[in-house]
Amino acid sequence: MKLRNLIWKELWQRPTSLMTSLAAVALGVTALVAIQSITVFSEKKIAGDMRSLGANVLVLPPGVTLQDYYSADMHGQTMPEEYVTQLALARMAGVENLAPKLCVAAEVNSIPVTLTGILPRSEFEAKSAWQGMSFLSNPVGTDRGCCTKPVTDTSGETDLTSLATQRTVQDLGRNELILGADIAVQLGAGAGAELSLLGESFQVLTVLPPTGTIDDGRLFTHLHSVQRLSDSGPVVNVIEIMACCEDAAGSLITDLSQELPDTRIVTIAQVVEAQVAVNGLMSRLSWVFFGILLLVAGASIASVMYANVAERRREIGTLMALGASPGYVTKMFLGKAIILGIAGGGLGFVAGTVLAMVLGPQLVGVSVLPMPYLCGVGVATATLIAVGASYLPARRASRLDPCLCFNEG
Amino acid sequence: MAVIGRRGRATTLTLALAAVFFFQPSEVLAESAGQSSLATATRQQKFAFILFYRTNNAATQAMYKVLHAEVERRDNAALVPLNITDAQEREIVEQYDASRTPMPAVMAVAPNGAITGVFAQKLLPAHVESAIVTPAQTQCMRALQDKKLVLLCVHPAGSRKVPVGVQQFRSDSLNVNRTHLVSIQAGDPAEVKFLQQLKVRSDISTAVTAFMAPPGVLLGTYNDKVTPTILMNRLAAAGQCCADPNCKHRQAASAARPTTRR
Repeated sequence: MKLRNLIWKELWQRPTSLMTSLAAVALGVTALVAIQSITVFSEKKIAGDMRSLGANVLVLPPGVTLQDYYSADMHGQTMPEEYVTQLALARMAGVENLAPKLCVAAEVNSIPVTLTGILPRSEFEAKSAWQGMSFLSNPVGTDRGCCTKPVTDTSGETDLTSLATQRTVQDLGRNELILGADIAVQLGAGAGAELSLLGESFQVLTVLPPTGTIDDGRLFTHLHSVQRLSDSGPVVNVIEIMACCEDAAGSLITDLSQELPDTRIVTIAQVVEAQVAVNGLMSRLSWVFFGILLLVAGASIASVMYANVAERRREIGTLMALGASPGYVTKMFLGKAIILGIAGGGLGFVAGTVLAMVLGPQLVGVSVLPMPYLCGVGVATATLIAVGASYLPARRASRLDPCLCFNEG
Repeated sequence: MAVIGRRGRATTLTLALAAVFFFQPSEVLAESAGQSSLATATRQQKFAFILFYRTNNAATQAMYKVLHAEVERRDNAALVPLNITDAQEREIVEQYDASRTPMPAVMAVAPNGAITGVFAQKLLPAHVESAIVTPAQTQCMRALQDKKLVLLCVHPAGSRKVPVGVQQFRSDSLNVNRTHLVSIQAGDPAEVKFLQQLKVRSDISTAVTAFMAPPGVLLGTYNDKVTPTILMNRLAAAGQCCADPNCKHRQAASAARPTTRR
């Protein structure tokens, strides 16, 4: 009888021990794959945010804590809009754009929505223009060596969806709306539609492409319209500052703190540092859990193998009496361990990936995809542990004396 | 009877029209004090320095003191104090968005309506001096604030010929409605300060053109050989960062370098 057939036959004849061993191995691999997958994709998202937002700075009311950059205006506290004018008139080097926001709750056709007031770039640029021609008093190329003043687009062509990519929009009328991708679907509204908000009629200018952020569920209109309709007065929740490069952003912090001492200045690095720390912790813990669970699995496999050897003494004795060598017997048990390791590792990879794909969006707001290299890691490690745990029982089995096996009644 | 009826209706209509014109509510016809002061300054070709304030506190008084002293010693400046809480002045407050400016604030408005400076919370004599600009500069600033491209042609003595390349650039269908031309003589004594700031000599032998874009960026200065292609390329490359190797814009920039000669 072939070795392979002996192993398969033995596995299916004793399914309970198979399942127990398989579950132990799979559990360890599942934990590793799930946590690592979520961590890796979360780090990728942070890296992407840093690339696109890395030079951005947030000006917030004092005492506001921030967990997510994209919901920086949803804390309920306000500060005077005159801070925006102050920044526009200050003309700090490195400031590419300002995006003040005010967020209020509203309803459209009885559907609760988040209405965000934003100030178009044209208004910020207009106030900046009131300070005259900067090149006369502040030559091109500041001592920071970066960032000439950006030029207003006079071509008349406006990218209406720039809010999704650049966090600002050039022009926006007082009764014009821009919808996020998800809320547009929910409301069944597209460009040109008329919507009633806070007792006033608005026309939808455009629908933004999906961004994967909270902005997909928002409606955007002119800041001053939101202030008027919500009776909040000239206030904002946040001022988002787009610096043209990371080099300028670093020096900008000092200037901003001096210009607006009664505010909290937050960089993207600070916003994400908590998430980066959590990711690092999760990654390290995943290896710890993996190690612990595999050790437990190894102990379980060793226990099951010893019991298996004891249970099959007469069978092993018979095989040896028929000519099976000690090496053959060893291979029989180790072969079973290899199959358990491969199957457990594969099953653990599948289970862990599915778990990560379900939990990733819910826990950290990222989409998770399968990571093939984790399959290799999981299967190899699980197989190694299974074989290691089965080695001593396999050696015991290979040293059995057939005569003694038959004598044990 | 029909004639009397028509005459009666005509008389009634005439009386009604007369009542509308001569008995308007007073707030529709009368200017506010601020509007009146601004109109007077414009007529007199003076720079109006509007002092916006909310309360007559120490900061407002300090700002008023400096501004009053500077305006008094000039014959081309006028002071217009304006309380932003005064309902009569709502139109001016909204026009200049003063309710969203840190108070107190001084806004300098040239006779042509260009805003030549805004100074919030603190005013120095040098601020007033910097806000009183040359006539050509007010034209440039007004055009820039109207979001137009500005081509400032500085002509040598005895010439007013606009460079061919500049004319071609302006007449291009893409630019015809968004470009403003300002012509000055290099030797004009009223423009000495502006030309010094632009680093254009008064003894030039050929025209020099300064190309500006809103909100107030100098794209380059060119001699009379400039072509419309050079100007278009410069405009397309405008607003991108300069020499910083870490700048995200520089990494993506691909426009040709401008040629600038004086």
